[in-house]
Amino acid sequence: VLLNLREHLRPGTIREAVRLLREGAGRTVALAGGTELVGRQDPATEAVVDLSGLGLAGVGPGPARGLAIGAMTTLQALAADQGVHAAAGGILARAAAMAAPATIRAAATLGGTLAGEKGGEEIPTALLALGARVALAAPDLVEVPMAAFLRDREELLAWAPLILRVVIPAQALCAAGGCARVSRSPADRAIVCAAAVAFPGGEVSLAVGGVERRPRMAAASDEPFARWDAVGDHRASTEYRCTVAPVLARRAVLEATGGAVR
Amino acid sequence: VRLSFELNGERREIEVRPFETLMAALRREGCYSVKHGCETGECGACAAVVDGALRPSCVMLAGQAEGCRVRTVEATGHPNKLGPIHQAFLEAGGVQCGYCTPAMVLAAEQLLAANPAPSEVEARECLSGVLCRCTGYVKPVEAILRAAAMLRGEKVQSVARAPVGRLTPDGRHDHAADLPAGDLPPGASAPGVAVLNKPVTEAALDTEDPLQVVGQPQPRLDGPKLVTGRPCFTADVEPRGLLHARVLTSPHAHARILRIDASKARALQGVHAVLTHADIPRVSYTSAGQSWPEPSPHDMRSLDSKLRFVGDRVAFVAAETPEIAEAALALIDVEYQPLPAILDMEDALKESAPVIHDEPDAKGFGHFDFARNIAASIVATHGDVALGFAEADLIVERTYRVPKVQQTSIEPHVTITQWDEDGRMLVRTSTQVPFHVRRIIAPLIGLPMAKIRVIKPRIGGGFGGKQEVLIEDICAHLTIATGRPVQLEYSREEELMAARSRHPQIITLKTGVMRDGSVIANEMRVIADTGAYGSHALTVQSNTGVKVLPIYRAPHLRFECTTVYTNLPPAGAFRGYGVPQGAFAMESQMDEIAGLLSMDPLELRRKNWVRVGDVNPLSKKMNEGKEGYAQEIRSCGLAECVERAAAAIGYQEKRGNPGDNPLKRRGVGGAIAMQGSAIPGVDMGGAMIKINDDGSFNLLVGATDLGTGADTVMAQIAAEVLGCRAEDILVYPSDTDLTPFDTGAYASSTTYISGMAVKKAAEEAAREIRKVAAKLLKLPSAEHVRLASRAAHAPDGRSVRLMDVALHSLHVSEQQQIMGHASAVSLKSPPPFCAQFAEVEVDTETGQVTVLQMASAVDCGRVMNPVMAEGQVEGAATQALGYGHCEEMVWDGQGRMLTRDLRDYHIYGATEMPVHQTFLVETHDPFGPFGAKAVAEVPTDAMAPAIANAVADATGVRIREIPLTPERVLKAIRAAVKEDAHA
Repeated sequence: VLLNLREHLRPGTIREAVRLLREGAGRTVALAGGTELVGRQDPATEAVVDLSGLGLAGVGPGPARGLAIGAMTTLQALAADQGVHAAAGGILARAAAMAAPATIRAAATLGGTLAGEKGGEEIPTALLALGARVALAAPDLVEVPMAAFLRDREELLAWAPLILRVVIPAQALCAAGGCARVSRSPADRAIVCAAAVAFPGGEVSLAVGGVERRPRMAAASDEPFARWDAVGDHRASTEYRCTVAPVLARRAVLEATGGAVR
Repeated sequence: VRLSFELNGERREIEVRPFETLMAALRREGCYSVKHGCETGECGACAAVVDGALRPSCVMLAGQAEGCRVRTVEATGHPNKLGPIHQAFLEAGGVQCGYCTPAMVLAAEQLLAANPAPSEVEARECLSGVLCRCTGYVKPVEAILRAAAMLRGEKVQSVARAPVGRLTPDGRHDHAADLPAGDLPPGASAPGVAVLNKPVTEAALDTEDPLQVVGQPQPRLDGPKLVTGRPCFTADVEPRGLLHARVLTSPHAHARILRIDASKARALQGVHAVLTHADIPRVSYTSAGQSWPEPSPHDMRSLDSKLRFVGDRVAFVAAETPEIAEAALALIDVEYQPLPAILDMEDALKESAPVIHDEPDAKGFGHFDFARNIAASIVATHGDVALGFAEADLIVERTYRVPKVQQTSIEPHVTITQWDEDGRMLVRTSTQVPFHVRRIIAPLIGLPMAKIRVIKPRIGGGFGGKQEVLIEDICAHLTIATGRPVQLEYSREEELMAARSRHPQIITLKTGVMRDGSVIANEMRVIADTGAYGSHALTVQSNTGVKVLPIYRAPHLRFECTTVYTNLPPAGAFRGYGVPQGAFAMESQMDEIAGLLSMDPLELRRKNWVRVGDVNPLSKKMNEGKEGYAQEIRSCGLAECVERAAAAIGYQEKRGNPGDNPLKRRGVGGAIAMQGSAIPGVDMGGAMIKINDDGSFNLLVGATDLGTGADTVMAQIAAEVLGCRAEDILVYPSDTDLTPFDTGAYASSTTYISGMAVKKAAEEAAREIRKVAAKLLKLPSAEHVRLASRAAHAPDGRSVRLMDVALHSLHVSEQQQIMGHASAVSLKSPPPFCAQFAEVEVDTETGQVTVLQMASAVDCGRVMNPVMAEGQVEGAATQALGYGHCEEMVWDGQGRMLTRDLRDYHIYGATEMPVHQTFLVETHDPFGPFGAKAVAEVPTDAMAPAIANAVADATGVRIREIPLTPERVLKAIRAAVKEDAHA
């Protein structure tokens, strides 16, 4: 349990939520689905700011005809949403479906996944490839590209502590997509994963997760993965991750560009 | 915090603490169907429906349920009022231990409310967040589809099915013709999409078979309470004044406690006791729950001043709440002196290795050498392997490595102790060995055995992990210290850090064969890692030799094993008990030899495997650390097992045909194994049966149903003898005060030994019934009175009801309690056999192995209950799939476990299971009750080598280490490519 949790705060507005999170920095944390936060059992957590009353769930039209996905949208809703399915070969929906078993997907949220450590690699990797942007409340709206969010996440969340939504740009919605993964068993979380989006103009966007600490963009061909700052764990070494990354990258690109993957 | 929500249709306003999880709140509100299995949401045993979504309540704060509608399985029915989903789970055998069943029932209810005609894929998907370690998911999925049909108003077929194979008078079996087609069943081509197991039914049992109850798919008698979530597990009963225990554990792999100060912890409000090694007597013991004298070293103390692994016990706390107990742990001030640690079993034998058990009061068993970190050593020979190797045309010597894996029962270890009204220690515990618990903890807590009563409630799975006296002493010490009831329930992290596991081994196997494939000599040399304590160190490894080497007839055999201590969590008993390790080596090697001889691997096995009439040449030499008894094989369905399972996956057609895609190679592989049925001359069970006024019976039996359905099988055996229905037998199991002794549920002994005791006890009661019935029927003799249909029948067709017999004998004349009691022990341990096959696809660029389909065929003698027996096979094979494919406990350079939750320690879930076909090949063994042998362990043995053999078939690369992780496989493929290029 969260041994030292003393307060369950329920802000009615985003501004209030941001204030509470800022004031309690270090000991007050945002509560989305709870699947990671409660399981983490961090004794430093003294208060939670429950985001369920802020209207942050749902998928709908975003700015500039993009797709906006509310931070409190559950992974199950993400996996099942028609619009998400239709975007770029459904790579984000597929990533959400593989992120966790159904019971956890019913509770875990997109925002919690992006803010936490245990949400897996596939969702942020897909969002990177899609060119998504993350909207944060500081409390004023701040929007940053996914790559910047992943790179500077801790600093960004210290300044703008509330993720509001993720926006997938319009051009990605009509693009083709592909993804590839390797894992210990079919439903286990990915060791390494790749997601690619082929835009109508011919440009291909590729992201690879599971090699470095966070997913990052890669060149659509001949990315020198061996030079990446790889991080291994008990499931696979750094060498292995660097070895299979180009394979998965190639497969994701091939799928996105309509090439057959043998 | 005030929480207002709707629970099962009723408005509730309750006080919750901010940190309280919904799981804790629901259990406090009496919803005990919500189970604790982990703390991270992965196992799903705690799942509840919140505003229409099934979600894990252990990772949801109670406060998050404000204003929500919450539904638990308690709202779905009652044991006396079952709905179609409950019925379907019971009839289809979708329930084993029942710990995850409430979550499964809720998942099914959710699915079927939205989708009345789900596909199998959808049924699997709805179970994807509920981990089950017992069933292999085949029958729960079948139950959901059955429930769907029932709810649609369709007529569902009986689940009755017959094993394959035919009994013949001399106990042999005929081979049934028309084996099933070898292709994947329709719709099963995609990995992870399995088609339901459809057991073969074309070869019926002997139609003259007179048995009425035994052999029938009797739904489990304890099922109604499980499908409706009644409180029946250890943690579901909370005595007044219950305190909660927590254990401070060692952060060091090897250290001495220089100083320990618990004063601050003791001063914390709500703390009732803190115990350190200075507070309790030092008594050496083994936590291995084995018969007296335990053949494991007595090298543990309840608390010790030396710590031998990360997770070892440092101090115990009892407090008003788990949270206070947890907080108190942080207040215990300990000064450690770290010592050099051994984290690799081969390092343990080095001259320079530190000595882990240097304490003078450690007592070894058999051959051991604590100064060299040797917990046990074994040498057993038959013939002269040197002579055999000298004669052999081909000698193959290879080394294999098998990992440390965990039983992972979804219910963690949990115990509640309390003083009863007579001042006796009542121990309610999730154990496979209640009688051993009583005997082993008595000296630890300083009470005579007569002052201790152990009760085994329902168990949420054990698989050997609960053949261990793991935490009972902790609770008892704290009850003695506080005078209050104390509960300790391990977290999942504690399970993975401090509970038991399968012994890892390094196995070197040297085999001498002749050109025609005859095995002439087999030598197995093993180093095994028992971890910090020697629980089962000798006996698990004995099994590696005695159950594996003799499966192939060879005039010369040699087994040598050294089991070493390391500073890692202790190993112990785990389903298969040493055989899965040895079988991986042996069955991999047989395929490799076949390749070298250009023989069909099955032909090589067929040429060499044991036959009826053979005597296991090692059986007299290894038996629980003492001389054993010669074991002659009296029944063997191995030939048909191989044929069935091989045909099921299309072995002959597919072998050697990896397909056209060089990046996705397919392969098939098979393996065989044998186990035993109980430990000969050691395992003993008792049973007592008495009639009630209405012709029902109370069966008091020491046998410990750990979720397998043993209680139901015991009832079937008694009912068969007494001529009544299984539901007329009221089974009361495993209470050291009330039931006869039983060694416990391990070594595949329950059906064979306890079942025999039940049969004998029932026969004694039946004799008395016949005598009374003969008088009532005015017959000159009871000799020809037959018991059937809840009545005693005279040869002339007249009958008297069992109820009338009971009323007469209890109330009318020559009054007596008709009862029977008996014990059973056996010097024979008839081996069950199995063949397991797998088809895999190997991604040659990533090394990822996908298991496409599996088949298991098991000869378990007479099948007592086909649905339950299949369930045992399906569950065991799934554990073996994990062993071969993805399960592995991993630690860092300091001995700290890296696999500390069910995300890192991945066990197979419902959506990723390959197709699995199960066949029960029935034989008749002369020793077991009604011809039965054991079933539960042998299907754990051969699947891992079958998968490795399939990978070799697909890639041409032999991998001698499991699990077959992507990295391990890719590395082997690349090494082979390099070697080829070099050549």
